[in-house]
Amino acid sequence: MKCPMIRLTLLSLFAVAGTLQAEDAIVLNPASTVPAISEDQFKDLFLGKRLAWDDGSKVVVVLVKDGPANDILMKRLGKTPQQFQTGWKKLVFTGKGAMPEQVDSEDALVAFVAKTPGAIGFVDKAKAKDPVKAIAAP
Amino acid sequence: MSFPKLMVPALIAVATSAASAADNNLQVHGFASQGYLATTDNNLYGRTAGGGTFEFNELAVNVTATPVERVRIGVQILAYDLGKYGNDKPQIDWAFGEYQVPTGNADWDLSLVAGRFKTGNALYNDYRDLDMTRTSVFLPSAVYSATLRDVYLAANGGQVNTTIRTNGLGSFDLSGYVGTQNIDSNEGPISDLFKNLGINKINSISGRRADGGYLNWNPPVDGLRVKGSLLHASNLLMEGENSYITGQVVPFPGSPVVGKSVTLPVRVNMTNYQAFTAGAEYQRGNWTLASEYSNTYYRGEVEAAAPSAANPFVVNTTQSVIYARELGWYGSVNYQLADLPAPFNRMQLFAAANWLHDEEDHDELTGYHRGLVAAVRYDIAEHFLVKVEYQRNRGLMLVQSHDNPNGMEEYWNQFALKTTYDF
Repeated sequence: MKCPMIRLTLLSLFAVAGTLQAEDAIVLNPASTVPAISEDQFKDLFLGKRLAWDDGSKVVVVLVKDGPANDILMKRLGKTPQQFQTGWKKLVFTGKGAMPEQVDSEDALVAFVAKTPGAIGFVDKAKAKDPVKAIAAP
Repeated sequence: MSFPKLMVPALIAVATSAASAADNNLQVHGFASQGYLATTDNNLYGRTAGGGTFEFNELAVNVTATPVERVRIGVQILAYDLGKYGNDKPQIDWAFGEYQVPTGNADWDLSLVAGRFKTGNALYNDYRDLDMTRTSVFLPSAVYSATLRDVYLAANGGQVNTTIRTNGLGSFDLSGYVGTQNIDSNEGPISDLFKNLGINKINSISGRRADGGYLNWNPPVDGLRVKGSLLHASNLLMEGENSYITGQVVPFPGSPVVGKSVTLPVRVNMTNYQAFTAGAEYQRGNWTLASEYSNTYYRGEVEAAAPSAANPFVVNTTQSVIYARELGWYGSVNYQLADLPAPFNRMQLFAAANWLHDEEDHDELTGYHRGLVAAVRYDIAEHFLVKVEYQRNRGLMLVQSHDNPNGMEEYWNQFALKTTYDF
């Protein structure tokens, strides 16, 4: 009986993890041709290590100042908010990057991404609707 | 009006306009810091013993833009004061243009940089003046000597940067550059090092060719990076003078006058300066561990005119070679109290052990430095912090003898307080 129980528990855990992953999404400007983003690319983009898309357009990272989507983003990046900020300040004050744009809400983030070429943001999947392009977070 | 007083309203003005500028791909940022530095027993970077000094600040503003696709341009003006160094004289910290070369491969980035740029030496040299990026007031002294800041700070020339992402080994950042360095001939730290050799007056410092690069490896372990960097500088030429008093220390040739001060030329060509640094940083949760090793070698040819010991009425020009190898190591730990309730979650704690010595003269007091550091940082707001640091030191390798004419002590303490605002 032990094995089926363990299997059931593991399946439940995977299901929970899957549900969590399905709750957030990456949003891109509708003109973006990026089909998907790998986990490494995801980290490079949100940590400022990638400055241009493959077509040469500038990467514009946009964040919500506070809120659950921001908390999830930090966990996915493996950073505390302060470590995240420090990383960006290192780039900005050595000339190697530009600060992410910050907005007050996920609705504002979606609106910003919709109008800004090269923009990328991270939101609750329920917010990732037209006109932005939504792709699954890795 | 001094430069900092002029800069403060200017910084406020540009900060106010930053938001509207962002629409045009233009960003303006800056920071200002003010500190207090005190030591016991030995003066460090000027007069710090017996009351300390408030001559300890940085002020910077930068502008960056992306005028066309794949091209970024920017400039940062910095003024700093660290005791006798800097004196808030504005200087170009970096100013460059960068072109992102299309590679056609999402796992390969390539960029070309021209201008004055940060060299990426060691884990933290690029962030030397960026107080907001660390808990400690000073970077670990065994690897990041304040007197060598001009050597490591930046270079003028060209730089190639590339990032290669692999499937199983993580990613690799490689960078290489050729260029020159900006060395302050008058009151700068390098000038001060020559004075510590016993040279009375520095007339000029020129040459200063510098090449180098680094390899930064981000292995497939979250939060870990491993970095090695090299710097090679050559033909840094110093021309100066040594003073003598006729008839007292030695008579001056052809001059019967006793007690007259005369100067004789001295010239040092630093033909070779090599620095290798290797280190690793591991960040997991609230913890950050770091350790680095440095191996620095320099060689200089000295040509000095001095009265002959055998016949003090004759001036001889002597030639000699100076060289040394210095080995440094530090280990540090940083902990952020992020899981505690406010306001304690805004605190960070830092501790480090430093060890630096001259390969040959490590038994002499001036041949080694050991330091234990403890620091606390508190973030008052997202862009406003205050920090305090204590360092217990042993050895005189980082202390200048001409700052301490009344003698130096083997054991000494260092205390620093600093606050920084950035936007």
